Amino acid sequence: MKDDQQILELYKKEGKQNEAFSLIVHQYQRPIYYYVRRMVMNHEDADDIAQNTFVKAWRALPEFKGDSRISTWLHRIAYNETMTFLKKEKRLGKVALDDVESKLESYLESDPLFEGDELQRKLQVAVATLPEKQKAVFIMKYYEEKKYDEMAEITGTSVGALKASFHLAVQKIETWFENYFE
Amino acid sequence: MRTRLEPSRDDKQFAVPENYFENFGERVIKQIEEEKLKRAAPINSRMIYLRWTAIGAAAMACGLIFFVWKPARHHQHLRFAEEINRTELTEDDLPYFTDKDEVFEYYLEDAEWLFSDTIKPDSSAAKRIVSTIKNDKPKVALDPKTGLPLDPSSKKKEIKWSDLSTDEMIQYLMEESDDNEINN
Repeated sequence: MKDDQQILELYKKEGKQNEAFSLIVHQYQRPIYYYVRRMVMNHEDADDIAQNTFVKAWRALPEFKGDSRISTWLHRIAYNETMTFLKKEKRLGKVALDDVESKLESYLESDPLFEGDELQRKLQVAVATLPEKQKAVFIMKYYEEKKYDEMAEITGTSVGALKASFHLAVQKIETWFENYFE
Repeated sequence: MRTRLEPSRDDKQFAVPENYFENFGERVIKQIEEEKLKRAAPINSRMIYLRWTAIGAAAMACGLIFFVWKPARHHQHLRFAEEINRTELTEDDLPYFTDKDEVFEYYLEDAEWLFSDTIKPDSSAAKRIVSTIKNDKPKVALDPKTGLPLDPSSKKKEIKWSDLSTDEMIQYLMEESDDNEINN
């Protein structure tokens, strides 16, 4: 596994751009895919968004100066792509807030690519009830254990706001479970 | 009792199709190549489209000039010429005359009664009058008895054609013509 500096130096070499980019894809495809998958739930959408993320990264790579880590930079692209996708879905009325829980639960039950147990399925449903930005914050902190500084770079939000957002998200999910077990 | 959210962070719950990550990079590269082609193609096709649109627009404009506008004008001329040949010219035709000389010629040829003793009814003399008319002459009132314009400086003095501007002369001729028609 090569570090960011090595990859960027390789990219600057004549005729080595494709090789450098392949290294980036190989190293970061899994975290990017899983972040997106947790956000949108189904594999097909996650696949599209993850691919678009890397295509956009390829386009933007000549301007990438290395001010942030490649993983942070890729996450920022993926975060924006996912937000755009979710807003579009909402605009098209594909996801109605009132029946999101029942629909998602039945979808996860029938989805052959979801292999979690009942508790994990419930957790996904609870996360899906969060507002989009709060969901993104929760996923990055809870599942990916990212530091707030990096999350601030990815989302363009202050650390304080992110901490409050995560705290609120956890509270909501705990309440959701309390109501579920009652 | 409060529910505590405990970590459940493994990715195993989200399965992917077989060899998904092995082929992921290949598919991304393929998508990039397709996008490069797409980006190149619209520029070419757009340029071709614009070029042909410009040619088409020019051809349409030429077509309009040749088949619509020009025949229309030609047709208008034909209609007017037919009208001229079919009927005698009247004062209603005066607006079709291109300049004041033509209007003046019309009166010279068809209205001999207009010429008083101060004017000889031959066209060459009339043309000479027209050529010597001064356009900046002030408007003059017409004598109600004789119908001729009056000199403002001397009401009794009869003025000559050369004292009139072209507009005044034509106006005078037309008014005289009207009076003549009424009298007839």
